[in-house]
Amino acid sequence: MSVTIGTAHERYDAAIIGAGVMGATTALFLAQAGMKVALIERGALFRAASGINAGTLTLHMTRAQLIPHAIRGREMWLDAARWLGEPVGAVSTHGLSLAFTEAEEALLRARARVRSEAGAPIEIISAGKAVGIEPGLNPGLRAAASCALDGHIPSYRVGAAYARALEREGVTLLEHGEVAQIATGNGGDHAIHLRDRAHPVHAARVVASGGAWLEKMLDWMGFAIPIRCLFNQLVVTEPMSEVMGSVISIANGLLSLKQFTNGSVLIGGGWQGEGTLEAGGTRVIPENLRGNVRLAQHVIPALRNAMVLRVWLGQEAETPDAMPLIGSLGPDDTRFVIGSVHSGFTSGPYMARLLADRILGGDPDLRAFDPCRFALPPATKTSSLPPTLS
Amino acid sequence: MRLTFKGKKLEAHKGEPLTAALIRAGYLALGQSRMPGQGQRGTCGAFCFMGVCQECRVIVDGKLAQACRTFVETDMQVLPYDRL
Amino acid sequence: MTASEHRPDITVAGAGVSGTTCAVALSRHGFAVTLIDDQPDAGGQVFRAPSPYAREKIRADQERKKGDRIRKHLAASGVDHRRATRIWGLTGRFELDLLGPDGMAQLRAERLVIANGAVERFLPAPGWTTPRVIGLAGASILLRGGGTLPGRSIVLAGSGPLLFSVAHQVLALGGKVAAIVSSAGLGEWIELGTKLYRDAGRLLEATRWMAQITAARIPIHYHARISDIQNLEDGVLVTICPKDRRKSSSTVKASILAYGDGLKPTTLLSRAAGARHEYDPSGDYFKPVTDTAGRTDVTNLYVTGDAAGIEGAEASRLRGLLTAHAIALDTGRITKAGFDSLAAPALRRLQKLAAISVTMRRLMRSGHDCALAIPESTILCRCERVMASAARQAVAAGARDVNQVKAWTRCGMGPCQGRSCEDGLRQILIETGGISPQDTGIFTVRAPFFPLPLSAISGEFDYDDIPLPKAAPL
Repeated sequence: MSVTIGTAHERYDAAIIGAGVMGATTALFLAQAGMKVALIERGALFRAASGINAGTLTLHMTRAQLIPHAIRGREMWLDAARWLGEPVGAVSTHGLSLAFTEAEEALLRARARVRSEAGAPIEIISAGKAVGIEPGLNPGLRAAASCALDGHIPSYRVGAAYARALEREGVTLLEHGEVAQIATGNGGDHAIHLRDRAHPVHAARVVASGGAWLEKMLDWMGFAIPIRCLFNQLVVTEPMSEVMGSVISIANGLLSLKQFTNGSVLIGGGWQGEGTLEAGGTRVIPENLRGNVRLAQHVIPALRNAMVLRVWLGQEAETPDAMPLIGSLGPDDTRFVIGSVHSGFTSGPYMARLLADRILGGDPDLRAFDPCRFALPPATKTSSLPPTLS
Repeated sequence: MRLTFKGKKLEAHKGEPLTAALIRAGYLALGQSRMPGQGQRGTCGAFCFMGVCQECRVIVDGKLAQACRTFVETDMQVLPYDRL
Repeated sequence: MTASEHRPDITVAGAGVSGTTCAVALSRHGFAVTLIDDQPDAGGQVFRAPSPYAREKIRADQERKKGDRIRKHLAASGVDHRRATRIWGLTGRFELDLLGPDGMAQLRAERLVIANGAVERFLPAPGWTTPRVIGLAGASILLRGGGTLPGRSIVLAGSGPLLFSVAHQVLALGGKVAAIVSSAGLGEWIELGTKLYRDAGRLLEATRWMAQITAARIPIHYHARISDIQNLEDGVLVTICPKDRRKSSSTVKASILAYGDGLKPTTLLSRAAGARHEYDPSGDYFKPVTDTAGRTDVTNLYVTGDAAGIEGAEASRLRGLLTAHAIALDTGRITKAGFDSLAAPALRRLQKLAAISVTMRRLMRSGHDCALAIPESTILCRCERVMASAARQAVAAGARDVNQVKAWTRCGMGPCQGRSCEDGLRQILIETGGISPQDTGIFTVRAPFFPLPLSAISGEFDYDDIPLPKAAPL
């Protein structure tokens, strides 16, 4: 429920800025561990990138280094009742990645090898076997890779489950509260000033979980890390008779297909639209819509009979090395950051668990995600920096 | 002119919307609705008559079309559209 | 898809009375105008071209004559009229995606006038999703445009002048009106009558209708709502619930219930184009923010006619004229003095009609004013069959605007893009969530504006034809 922050004397153990999957889950875990948590969101809960994505649980498109996180994130989604308090309609299926040309086949094998080395149960199967699993496939297929762990979630539903869980755990959810600046005083008290509100939110810890907006949030805290924002085209059809049971992708990464329980088919693949950080996705590029849809129809010919219901642009954020930011802004810093990674929705709950553990005093291995790997902290800090990755 | 709905012949007048012809012949239900919250599947029929509600959709000569925006042609074969 | 070879000076979306009047006036100012409309003939809803059969069956009246005149003027003008062409996408850069008789096309508009009129507003009632319930405006289209009765006996219910207009149309075709159930009280109708003296033609018409209805002894219930609709084998059993709870409910059986609660601007295109919208309490709807001549806060975007606010057919025509003159002024084709002189008669007439428009809108919003709470098991979203209970649960969980409820329940995610359920949902947000009408918000609109065959987007192609962007890294 939207709440007005009350007196100036109220102090939270943690204030989290950005109520998408990363921020909201971190808030949940910290609250479950007994902290007094405020979750601040300039829009509405789970309505930015986390509310408009494809709901994918695939490993085929995940970077090798992030496979373990995607696997655990997927497990968490399938078992949401345990940590979120209710199921979210996640469905486990296996996933097929396909090759139609020789070049794609080489790519398929390379990707499958790299990912299975990283722990994903992916095996190369023959075209015949793939068509046996998925009769609706274009028989012009050359080869396929099958992964036992895949699936999908109707991501738009997830927000309601989080709303209930956050309320249950006593998280103060402040929607429509836009942060103007963060002032950190001596003694580590952070004062988060909001537009249109007289009193700042005081907290012992700040977590910036703004996804594509992390660059701006880090700027408030004196850090400069460029975050690239992508506007991924998504197409959903009206419910139709069953045309696929697996989640399907193509080796070149340019197609993802899934059919939800209600029969609608979601077509993705990272084709870009136009957009800005402030306005979000603004324009679907007609050639990209055509190309994406053609690819989908090529792979599952029955889709030619589909009725397209909506086309929209999701949002993904990317750091310079495509690894997420998870951790504090310095060895003893009480300012933390989480997010900005491809397939952030899939691995979000697990990444949030890692950060929550860290904040609660644990020591999960977050070295590859250290925010300091990009930013140069002020000269007074003496920590040894990991080498900057290009 | 003649067209068929569910295989049965009905009379229609040139240049009129399909909804008028179907309703005059007594066909109000034009297909099954989506699954309701509970209970039985309902039926759909023309509701707004101005192309907005999408409930008058039928299959016309194999293609999905809104009956309120389709004008009758001779030997048109119309079938109900059952939503999933 | 083929790009338009010549870019028109002005693109007008919607060939109802306001759009057509605007287009013809623009053409007279010397502009190259393209008028896009999804019907084969211009006229919109009010002046819809009747089918040949309807022309025979129904005697020509003022409205039909006006409609024929509109179509004649359009045909005689230099306007490029794109018939039977639907707009399925519109960007903030005025790129229109079209589906017409020759297939898909794109048009980049230099200046855009949105004139796509009004849609009917619906507040849910239990059982309203049976095919025996049709819209009131829908009934009017079937009766006047199709010359066809929806059934032998009809109950008419809801709000706005259509109640009596449709009653007249049913009687004219030899049908029976089993009852009229008006959410407004008799006093409000009399008030409209007193305002009509400013429009002699309509006053005469209204008097004739009331005489007919009285002679037919149609039971009229004032200040009453439909509280239940039972689907029977051969008809519907409708429960009429008076607002005054001291009076008892009654039931009436009929073949069909025609039910609607007034008109609201179709804001689909104006939302897609990025115009600012606000809640207008006089009509109980959201509308784009425009000035007298239809200018919006988006440069080169105008909204005119009922799409900018419900005022009635004659006012819509006058707005269309004003918008045309405003564009001529804004592009420097005429001077301010020229505009003032051209606009003056229209402005004077609009001033005279204002009192009628205001009263009419009040009648149309009377349903909102005496709405019954929507029972939990009543279907709210007809497309997705989402019940009112789901919407209330979402509000209880913290959803505070239509888009959040949509995200959490699928209400509004169906093919009609929320047009049939938005008002019921707004009622629930106001009642259950205590949210002000302005804050309930308006559904985000996404292309395609209606379901589009995937094959229309993909066309004919080979695998090699697919232009692939760079593959993602390993």
